[in-house]
Amino acid sequence: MSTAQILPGTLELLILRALSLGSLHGYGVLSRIEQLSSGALLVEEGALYPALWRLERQGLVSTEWGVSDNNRKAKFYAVTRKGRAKLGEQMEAWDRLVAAMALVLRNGVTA
Amino acid sequence: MSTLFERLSAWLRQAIGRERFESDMAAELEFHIEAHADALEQRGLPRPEALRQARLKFGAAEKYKQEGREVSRYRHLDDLQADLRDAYRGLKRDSSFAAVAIAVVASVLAANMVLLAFLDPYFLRPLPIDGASRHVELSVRDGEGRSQEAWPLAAANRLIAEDNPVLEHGYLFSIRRVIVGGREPKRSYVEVVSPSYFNLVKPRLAMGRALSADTRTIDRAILLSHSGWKRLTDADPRVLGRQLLVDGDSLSVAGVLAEGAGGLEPVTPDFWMLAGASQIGPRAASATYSVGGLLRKGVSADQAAAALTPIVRTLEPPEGGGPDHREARVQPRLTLLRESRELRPLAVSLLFLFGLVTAVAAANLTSMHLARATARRHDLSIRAALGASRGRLMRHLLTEGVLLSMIAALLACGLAMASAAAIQGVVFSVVSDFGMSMLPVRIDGRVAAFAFALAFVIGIGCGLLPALQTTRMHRTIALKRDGLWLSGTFSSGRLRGALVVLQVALSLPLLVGAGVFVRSADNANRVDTGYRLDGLIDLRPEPPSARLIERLRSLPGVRGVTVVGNAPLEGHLPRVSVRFDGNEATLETNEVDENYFATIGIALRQGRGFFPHETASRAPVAVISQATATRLWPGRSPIGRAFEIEDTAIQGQYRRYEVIGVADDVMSGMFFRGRDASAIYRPVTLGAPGVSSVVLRVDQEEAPALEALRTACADLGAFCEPLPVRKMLAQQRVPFEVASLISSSLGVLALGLACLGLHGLVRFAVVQRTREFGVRLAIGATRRQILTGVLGESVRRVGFGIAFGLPVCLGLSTLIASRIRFHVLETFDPLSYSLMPLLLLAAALLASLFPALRAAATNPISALREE
Repeated sequence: MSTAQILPGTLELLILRALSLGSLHGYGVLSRIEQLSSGALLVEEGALYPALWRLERQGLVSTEWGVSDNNRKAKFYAVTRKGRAKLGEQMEAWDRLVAAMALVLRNGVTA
Repeated sequence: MSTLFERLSAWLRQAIGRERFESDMAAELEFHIEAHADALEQRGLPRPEALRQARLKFGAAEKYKQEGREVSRYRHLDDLQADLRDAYRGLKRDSSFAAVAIAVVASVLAANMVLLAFLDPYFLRPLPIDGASRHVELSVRDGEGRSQEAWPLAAANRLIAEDNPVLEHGYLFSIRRVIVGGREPKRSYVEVVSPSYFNLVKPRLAMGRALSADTRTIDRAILLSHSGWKRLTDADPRVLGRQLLVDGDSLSVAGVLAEGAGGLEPVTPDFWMLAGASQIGPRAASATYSVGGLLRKGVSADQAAAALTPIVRTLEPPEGGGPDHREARVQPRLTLLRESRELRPLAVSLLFLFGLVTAVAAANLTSMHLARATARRHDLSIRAALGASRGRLMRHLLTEGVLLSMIAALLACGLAMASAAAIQGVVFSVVSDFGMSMLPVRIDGRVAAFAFALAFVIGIGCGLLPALQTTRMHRTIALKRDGLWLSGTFSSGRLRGALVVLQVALSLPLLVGAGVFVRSADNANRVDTGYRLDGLIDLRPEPPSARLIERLRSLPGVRGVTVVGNAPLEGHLPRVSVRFDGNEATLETNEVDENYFATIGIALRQGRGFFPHETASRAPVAVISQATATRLWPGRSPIGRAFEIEDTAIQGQYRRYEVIGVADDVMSGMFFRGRDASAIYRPVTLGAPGVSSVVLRVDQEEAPALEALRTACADLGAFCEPLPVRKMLAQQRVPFEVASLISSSLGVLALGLACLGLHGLVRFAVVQRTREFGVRLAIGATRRQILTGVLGESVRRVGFGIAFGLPVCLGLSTLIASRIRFHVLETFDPLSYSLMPLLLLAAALLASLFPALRAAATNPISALREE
């Protein structure tokens, strides 16, 4: 299966979506995005962290230090109430965008 | 020095969790790589290879950390650190600029700190009691506007009774002068208070206990202040229980206050004792007490006054049972110093003077910043070209200004401590001679905080204008895109010129003020009292007796002895209301015996002095001063005429006096009011109420002679402390000397700042205009023309400054003259008004002379080649 770079500005949306299924550490977020996209979406690993920290600073995710499956100290992220609301908004916006894009692109193709 | 920065920033980072932030970030990224490596290892890769691949996949960790820092709350801290580092390097490069600027700011900061340190404990700090915001003092005003502020003990006690509906923690107090000790008696001040005083004032004790109602019943105890303990007992560590002789009465020491602790008075007495514990001294029976306390919660001052008026009216019913118009007044008193009519204009003008000198320094600093920013055009334009925004450049410039001020503030703390100690030494030494002590002047946290705040304001304020100006220029240049400097004129030059004019204009009032006050102190030193001060001794024997007077008179070297109500220069003379020929006047009066005029040396112009039988019987005769004679009966002889004086004890009762003599006008009250505008001398003799001073004329007033007087008193079982009248005059002069010291320091500071500003401006302008001078010289201008041209410009600027400054001076003088009238203070002193502008001009010329000479010495060839 071929892979695709994610669109600029959508990384935060993907992170929020991944975290909406349960709290994860950074590596876990990465794995879940790959898993959800069946490996189709490629996230630049390091770039994940500034995005996570931005979300933390905006109060969309909360953090807590805990222990990972392989018994290492890890920082876990969870979506806050505010983050959930934001995720809802962004998903709607995304749907509208995709629908509009599809409309334009398909119309162009069929015409 | 860079290690200082590293240390400082390390400390800062630790202080606000920065270290933790960094380590968390590193741990998180490391976990990611480890977790990824774990996954790869599970797929069969050896650990080292798994780790290598995980790291490769992760990318540049440092880059992401940097992004993390940028979104973190530490971003501003990082920027600040970078700005501070840049600012520090910049200042280090221009170390001469930095040194001058720091000196300028530090000097005014130190001046302001010292001022605040002196004012704070008296004017600003709340009284050291719980509920200080409800603290009040009582007075009574009668129908004719006269006010009464003290009552006999019984009446005062009624006012502070616990059932008082509006007042709680009521207390009474009275400041009294006493003599303490046997062998070497000392004049001392005691505050006599009610036991309730110490329920309100809970002073910090160094040892023993405060006074309470119990103490009174057990023994007659006193509580020493820290200074009293040092002065009266030579800091005796085992002073508790020791007996002290107070006006010949033995009292025991119950406690000693800690250093710096005091009561509710601006001047801390040597000790406190309880009213009624001991009725000591000739004036104790007639002593009156003031009343203070806290308003009960929710009661306003007006409500309290209304509620107290009926109580006040029952205290002493009016003579003859007429309608009583007396009303209670409740005056809030929140700080040590009471509000007063004379104090306020003094404090305001003091603040104004310090404000002026601060403004001069600020103008100076702004001008220096402008010059520096202009000189750094190149540096700044490169930064702008590299993409620094205007805001970034401004922040950089402002950081530099603030850093500079902060260093100056640190320096100022040291300067202020040193000068506060010096000034305190001068002022307090005179006061302590009289058994009073003032609160120690401390450069404490409050004062330092104020200095740093002011430094911050100065740093931002003085840097802002130059920063705006310079960065605006950069934007224009950037828009022009040629990236090079047009060697055009730069309007900061004009701005700096205006700042110099401002500095001169603001300095002038300070200089004129310095002139006026120095002259007034000089006048005070040369004041002519109208009698000879040498050998005039005020003796306050306790108890005074006829035998003692005879003994004193027989001592060798004693030329005269006189018994008086008010010794010369002891303070204001009492005022009485006088009726004469159907008119009324309020005049000052003194009571003296038959030897007064001869002993003091006051010539009688007309008539005669008192005979012994007149003083013995307190006959209805009076000697009046020349000024009084002129005032009551202008152009006519007063001898044989009569006037009536109201009895101080019984209101509305008058006693008739016949004028038998006219004496020369002399200074007998406060010297700064000049020779008495009015004085009525009435005959009195030893033993009459209110008469306690014995004044001696002696040949020598050195220590052995004074010791002989003490011994003579002690031989007859009396206590006395001889005080040369000259010392009283010295005490009265203190405020003038202090004013002179403060104003001349400020004047010198302002003059220095203004000259520094002018010097900097001219020097800078000369460098900037080197090419112009070169051209002018090349086409035939003489060096003299260049010199006079540069100097002329300075003169013109200073002239403008003086023209703006003079109206400010005149306004200030008018204000002060309308509030304060002292005979030695000539607020429109013509000498100061004419000399100070000349001094300013001369100093300014001198300051611009060297740069001007340099301009004149320009070598045209090299100047032209430079471009």
